[in-house]
Order: sequence, then C-alpha cells, then structure tokens
Amino acid sequence: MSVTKLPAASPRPFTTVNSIFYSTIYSVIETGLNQTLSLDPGTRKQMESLSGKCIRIHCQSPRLLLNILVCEQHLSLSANEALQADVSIKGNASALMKLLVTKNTAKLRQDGIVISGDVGLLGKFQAILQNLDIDWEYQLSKLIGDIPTQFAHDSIHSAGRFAKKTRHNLEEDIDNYLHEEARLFPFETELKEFYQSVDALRLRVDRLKARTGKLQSTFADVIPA
Amino acid sequence: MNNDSQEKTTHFGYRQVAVEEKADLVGEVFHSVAKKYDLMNDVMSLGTHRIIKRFTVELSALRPGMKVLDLAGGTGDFSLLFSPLVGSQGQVVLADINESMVRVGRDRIIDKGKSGNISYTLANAEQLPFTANTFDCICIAYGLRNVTDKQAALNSMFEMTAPGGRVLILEFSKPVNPLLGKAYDVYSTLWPKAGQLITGDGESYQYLVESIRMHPDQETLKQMMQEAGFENCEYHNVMGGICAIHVGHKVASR
Ligand SMILES: C[S@@+](CC[C@H](N)C(=O)[O-])C[C@H]1O[C@@H](n2cnc3c(N)ncnc32)[C@H](O)[C@@H]1O
Repeated sequence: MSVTKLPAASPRPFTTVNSIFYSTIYSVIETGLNQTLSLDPGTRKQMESLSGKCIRIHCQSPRLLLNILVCEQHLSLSANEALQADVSIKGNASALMKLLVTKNTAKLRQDGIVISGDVGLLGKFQAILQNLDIDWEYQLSKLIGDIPTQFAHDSIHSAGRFAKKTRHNLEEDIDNYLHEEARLFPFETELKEFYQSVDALRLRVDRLKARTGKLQSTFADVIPA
Repeated sequence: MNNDSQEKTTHFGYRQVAVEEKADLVGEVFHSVAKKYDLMNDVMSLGTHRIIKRFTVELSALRPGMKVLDLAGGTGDFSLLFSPLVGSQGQVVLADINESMVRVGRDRIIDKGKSGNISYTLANAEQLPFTANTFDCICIAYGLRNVTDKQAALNSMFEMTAPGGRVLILEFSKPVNPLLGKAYDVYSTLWPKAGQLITGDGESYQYLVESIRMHPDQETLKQMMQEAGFENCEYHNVMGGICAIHVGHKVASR
C-alpha cells in the first residue's frame, strides 16, 4: 500500500452540471445513511469518535468524487474537492466496491487502489460502516408514506383485499429493489427507474383510495353504520 | 445612479428611490411574503431550489467546529443545513436586515429542534457588526440582489471572513444561452401574477423580477469580488446561468 502526501489541488473533475447531479444522488444516500444511523445509537457513538474526519473516495472509472465527512453523530456527503480530506482512496469502481464489503485490506494494491493520508482512519471507518445495516425498506416506506396502511384499515372488505394485493405488490417491488440493489451507489438509470416506479405506485394507491371512498359511500346507503 | 451633489437615489427594481428609503421598502417586501416564500421559490426555480441550496452548501467546505455566517438568511433554510455540518462546537449566525424574517427564521428553526448552535442577529450586509476575520464561510443566498451598495457589502464580507475562509454568493443571474435567457425572461414576467395568486402580493414579485434584471452578471460580480479582496474567484452556473454560485477565497497571509 502506498502512502503519499495528499495533493494540494488537482484539476476539477466535474462540470457544474455533473456536480449538481451527484449532489442530488448524494443527498438521497445521505438521508438514507443518517436515518439508518439515527436508529443505531451504538454505531452513532462510535462514529462520533471520528467527528471532523473526512474520507474521500475518488473513483476513476466511472469518474466520481465522494467526500464522506463525519459530523459528530452523522455523515455528510459531498463532491467538493475544496474540502480537505484526511484520507483519500483512489481506484476504479469494482475495486472500491470490494473495499466496501471486504475486511481483508491486504490485497488492495493488487486491485489498483491507492490510499493516501491517514490509513488507520480508513480502517476504523470501514469497521463502523460494516456494522451499519442500511434499511432500504424503511427508507422506501418513508418515501411512500403510510397511505397504504391507512387504506387497508379503513376500507371495506373487498377493497381491503384489493389493497392487500397492492401491498403485496409493493413488498415485491421492495424485494426486487433490494436484491438488484446490492451496491451502495445506484446508477443513474436505476435510480430514475426506481423513482418512476415509486411515482406510479403512489398514483395507483391514490386511485385505489378514491375507489374505496366511492365504494364506501355506495355501501353506506345499504349497510347501516 | 446620481452624483453626490444631488440627493442619493438607488434602484428599487426599476423605480428610483431615495437610498434610505430602499432598506425600508425591501423590508416591506419580505415582510409580506415571508411565509409563502418557499412555494414561490419552487415556482421561480422550476422546482430546483432545494437542490441548488444543497449544492451551495456542499461548496461551503464546512466541517465540525467551524463558524459560518448565513447572511440575508431570511427564514433560515441555509442555517438549518449548516447547523449539523459545523456541529455543537461550531457556530451558525443567521443575520438579516429584516426583523420579521429573522423572527420567522428563528421560529422555524426552534420548531425543528435545531437551535443548538444557531444564533440570530439583525444586521445590514453593508456594515456587518462582527469582529474582523471571524467566519470560515459567509454565505449570502438570494440576498445580495437586494443590497443597496453591493460593493460595500462585499468589502464588509471580506473583512469578516477568516483567512483561509470563503464566501459563497448564490443569486439569480444571466442565462448564458440567449434563447434560454429570452424564455426565462418571458417566464419571469409571469411571476407577479403567480405571486399574486400564491402570496396575494404581486407587487413584491414585480420587484423581484426587476431586481433580478438589474443584478450584475456573472463576470461583473466576479470582478466586484476581486475588488473586495477575494482571490481565486470562480462561479458555477446553474440551470444555464438562471442562477449562479460565486465562490471567493480570503487567502491566508503568506
Ligand atoms: C430572498 S431572501 C433570501 C433568504 C434566504 N437566504 C434563502 O435563500 O432562503 C432575501 C433576504 O435578504 C434580506 N436583505 C435584504 N437586504 C439586506 C441587507 N442590506 N442586509 C442584510 N439582509 C438583507 C431580506 O430581508 C431577505 O430576508
């Protein structure tokens, strides 16, 4: 492993358009990470010991810059090169992914990964991150809201079954999503598709809700309350 | 602008008003729109203002323990984003010339339970009431446009910036593509109507449209920053220059 001094400044790898795109993605990931952290006081405490430290991931193909800044008990992600990193990891995507999941850091050099700065910090950070069990399902349910749940309770029987089916589909959707999404960094198209399907789902739920409302008012006439 | 012998006037949008009057007028404008401000922001930025804000915050390069000034901070959007970054050892100062804006900002921040490291100051950007070399970052977002003497504000901001620190200026700017410029121009003529519908106050948005058109373009503002002493000044055009984020540095003495 080669340990070199951090370069003072390197040419800007991004255009503003790119940065804004990453900024959007990072904000989504950041929210997910921090919500997960908020449910995990143990990890949060550990994290605090690294407060103020910045880990930079510099992916060369595809080109991507990610700063992970530890701010007390939560994480802040950014693509700003002006932020001084304490340790920086350079490499290509697949090698970096491996770094994320492996505990064995001995073969890093073979994978073409270059680490500069405080290597010890990287080890500590990695250990903490591996403890973190990111609950994407929870994130998704927060995103969609509790309309489906409410729906199932309020609705009359037949529509209730219908709702359950929707929920089942939803669970399937989530399941598929989780399985396809073993990577921490979703690609652009995937992310887009995901959000589109969430939107579609939301519409479906809205339509269902309207239908139940209609059915309910119809039955209200027939069945005494 | 008129010469010194005559009474000093400045532009309030396209209207010429006495300099002392402008601060009051600006106050009125923001007083009347403070609460529905967010929705109109969405209209004006085509729904992108949140992500532009986030991007701006990323450019701040803040980290725990630092001090940041949210100048013309209004309802405190930026303070809320800065607060977790600088942490309990750091400090966020929300400063605005308008008392009701500061009050709305403070209430919002307290509501969200994030008041720990944020403090509030009534201040005019042209004469900042702080100690020199205090802030690691000064951010003025959609605020410089409303300041009467912009150069004075930049000078004062430079003075308050700590050596090694930076200033961020987010503002509506000039679209680089003339066609986009034209389209946005036409679009912005609709704001007063939208503003009337949403906030019940079309006149304030008439003022916004005009103040945006009067605001210095990217290169001019960059020069003004250099004039104030900032170095390594650069800007990021957002949405083809509809907005621009200028970054300037106060270089640590060598
Ligand atoms: C459009 S708001 C921006 C609020 C906030 N920065 C944001 O992005 O949401 C502009 C603010 O600038 C303030 N302002 C106008 N002139 C000022 C001056 N000379 N000094 C300080 N603040 C000023 C107004 O009171 C108003 O709150």
